[in-house]
Amino acid sequence: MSRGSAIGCTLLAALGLAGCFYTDPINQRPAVDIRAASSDPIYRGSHVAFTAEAADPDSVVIFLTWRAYVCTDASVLETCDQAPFYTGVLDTAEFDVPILRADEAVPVQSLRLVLEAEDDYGATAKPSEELVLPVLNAPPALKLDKISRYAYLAGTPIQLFALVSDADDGPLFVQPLVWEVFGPAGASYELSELVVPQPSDPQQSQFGKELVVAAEGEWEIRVTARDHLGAESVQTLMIAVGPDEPPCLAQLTPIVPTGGLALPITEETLFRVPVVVDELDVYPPVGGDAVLGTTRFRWSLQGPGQSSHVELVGAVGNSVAIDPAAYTPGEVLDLRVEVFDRNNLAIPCPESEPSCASIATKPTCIQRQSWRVEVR
Amino acid sequence: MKAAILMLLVAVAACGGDNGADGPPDCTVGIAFSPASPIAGPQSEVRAIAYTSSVPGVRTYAWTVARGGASVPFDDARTDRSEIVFIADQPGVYDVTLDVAIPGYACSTAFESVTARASDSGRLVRLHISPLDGTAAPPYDQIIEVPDSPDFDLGEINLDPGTNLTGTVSSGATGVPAYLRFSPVANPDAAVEVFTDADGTYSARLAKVAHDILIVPTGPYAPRKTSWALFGSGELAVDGGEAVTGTVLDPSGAALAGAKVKALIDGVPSTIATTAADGSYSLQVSAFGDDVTIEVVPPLASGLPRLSLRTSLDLQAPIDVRYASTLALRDLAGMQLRRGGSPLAGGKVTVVGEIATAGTIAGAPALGHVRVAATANASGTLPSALVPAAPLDGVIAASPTDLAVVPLDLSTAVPAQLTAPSMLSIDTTIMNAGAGVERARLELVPREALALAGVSSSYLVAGATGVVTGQLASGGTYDLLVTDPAGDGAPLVVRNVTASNLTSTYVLPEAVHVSGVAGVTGNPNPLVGASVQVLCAQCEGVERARPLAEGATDQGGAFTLAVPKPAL
Repeated sequence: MSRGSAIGCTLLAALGLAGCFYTDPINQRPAVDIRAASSDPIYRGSHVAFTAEAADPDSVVIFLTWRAYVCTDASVLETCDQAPFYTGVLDTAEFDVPILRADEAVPVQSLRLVLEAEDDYGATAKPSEELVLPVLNAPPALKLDKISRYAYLAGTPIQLFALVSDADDGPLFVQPLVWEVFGPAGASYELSELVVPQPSDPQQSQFGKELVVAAEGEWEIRVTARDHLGAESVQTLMIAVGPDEPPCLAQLTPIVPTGGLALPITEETLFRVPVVVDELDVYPPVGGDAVLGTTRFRWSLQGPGQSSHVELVGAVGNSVAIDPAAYTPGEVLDLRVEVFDRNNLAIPCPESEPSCASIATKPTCIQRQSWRVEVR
Repeated sequence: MKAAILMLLVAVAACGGDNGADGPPDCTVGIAFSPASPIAGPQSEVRAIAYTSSVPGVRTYAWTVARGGASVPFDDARTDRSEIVFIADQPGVYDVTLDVAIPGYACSTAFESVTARASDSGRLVRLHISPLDGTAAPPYDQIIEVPDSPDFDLGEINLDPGTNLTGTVSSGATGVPAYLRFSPVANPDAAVEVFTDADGTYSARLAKVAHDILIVPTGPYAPRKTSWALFGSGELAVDGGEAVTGTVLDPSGAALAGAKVKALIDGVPSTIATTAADGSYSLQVSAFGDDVTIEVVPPLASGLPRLSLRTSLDLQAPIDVRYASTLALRDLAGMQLRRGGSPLAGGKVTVVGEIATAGTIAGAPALGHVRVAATANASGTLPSALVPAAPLDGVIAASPTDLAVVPLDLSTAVPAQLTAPSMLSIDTTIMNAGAGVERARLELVPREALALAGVSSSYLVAGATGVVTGQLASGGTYDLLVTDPAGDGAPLVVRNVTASNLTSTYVLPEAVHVSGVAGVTGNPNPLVGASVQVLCAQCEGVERARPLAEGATDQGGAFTLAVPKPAL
């Protein structure tokens, strides 16, 4: 007997009524629906959540059963795993979408989610609610970076780095990266392998290239990462390759006179340039780097009675000694030092200028300095 | 003792201010030692220097020196007894006391010590750090002892930001443009140089220690030396100073006009005097000191040598200069410069040398210095140029880089020809750890005749296998400075190298890599781009300024220099 007929007879018996009428109230099926917590695409390996919206016309308790299957094509049941990878009985189903099907070889491409509802009297929702969702393959994640010890100059190595990960299959399934270089028209470049350290995170791989470009300008580095399922990521890196600027006299000793004064010297004095700053040709020299060179120095002296500076031939180091014993007391000399690098071989200022800063925007970066020296 | 010697101001007995309402005002007394780190030995002279605050009055000094409780003899180094010298013949601590009496002031007793090290000079070098311009810190200069180990980490080196001293150089109410050099009393190698503005004003960042100040003013004012104590005034007065007079006579006893006369007194230059027609001169000095160098530079056309004398002189008496009557002159006119049997057209000869008894200064024998240059014509023939008749040397330059040194004995006559040998080819290999040093750099520093002739250093660079080829002047002597650009080997210094004694191989010394990280106290940022040098601690003159190794601090303030491992 159904639950409704028993109630009717009981009531009639209680009222003492003669006779009896029979009703057959029908336990109705519950209704159920699946709601996704997010409308975002579902990727392999991604975490997803679904909610059951169930209702029973009879307002009795409903028992839910979730089953989730991974498939190659969920519209064809034969391409789905026979066993669900997830089962649940709560209102909410929350799980990570598997990367591979049960054979651990075939990538998951769709998801079949089945929700069954049964009320307290055994009535089930028919048909069961079923959701078929595509499962996408996430493209590799790609991050680029660059570094140069040489201020991004033409003809010097620029190190490029690509950090790759793939959320679903891992970095090992990423195919070799495609590196493309785009520079100023007609400009050549060389791109070679660079051995780089690997990150401690096994889910990431790092790759490197060494780029040497032949011309100044904007250079674009485009890197494509493609996984074994064809999903790809493309990242670009812009590199502004600038000019090799002239070196800068960073320190001079002894002090350079100002205001028309002269440096008095009473004994042999070493005039020195302790530090020159440059992208490539520095002083003091830096060892162990084949790209870096050394500043070139040119010293010249305008002696008493001379109308211009005369180069001290052979004095190509960072210092020159001036001995006052070679001059008459009271004489004034003008000792000049000029610095050059491999690409800046001339100083644009007139010879008459005691100092020279050839970069208009860098007035403190000077390539020429002169000491006015008085022999005492 | 030269100004460059290292000194250590071990303390200043600071007083200053008023000594209470009833007593006399205090004064400041301090003692500095030169050198700061003496090496014990029978010739190890240590100078103790008194410093007092700038209060007026005559100072009376009373010293004691003791080691291990036993008195150590000393001598006065200055007539006013403000400096004494003693011999630190034994390693150990030498205790020095100083009482200074100034009428009207109460000066406390200064007590300081200086430690004489055992003879280990090979281990001592100077570490000099010079920040970039604009960095608020004066230079750092300290003696360090290099250990017998491959690496020597100095750790963090924090430069004292110092204090900014401003002031004016003036004579009365008139500002005087000047050159100023502030030398820490304890450490003159950490000197700070400045030029004043046209009105005499200046600004200098100084370490917070006592300084000596050398003032070289423009105009008729006498250069002078003064001192500055922490919190002292930056106002610096100059005046005409004291006059030093005398006459200059040539070998015949006639007045020599147009000669330049100058003096250097306790390291302070004088004004420069020019002799008048009667040979008389008058120059200005700031004070009459004890360590006096007089130099006389005759007119170039006279052919006479320069005369110099370093001694202790009474400058208040006339300082007369007399060239030796025996000093004869020769004329180079007509002498031909030749090479390889042909005239050396356009060649230049610089005749150099020294004459022990070229004259007298204040009655004392003075050394003569010869340096006369002449350039040959197209046929290699020299023009008229007077030169002392003495055994001298000729430095012949066929071109600025083609040199030869030849003896030139002018004692009896001028030779008809002077032949310049060709440059001599050299070939040597720079080695380190059994391999040639690629790009090893050789600096050839001229010595003797070449140096007297004003020849500049020249440079050679090794090839990939460490082989260096080049040329040396025939008859020339050089100091060889070899550096490894990679910094693996330590710098090598070889003295008195000639083309004939140059060896086929030079091995760089085993290196100690001295490292550290430089900063400025109170500044969280690293000291970037500062010059870091390791220099000879015992050298004098220009060699004291020539680094054994040099580098610059990186973006993190770090540096590493390769210096020779000390000899054990």
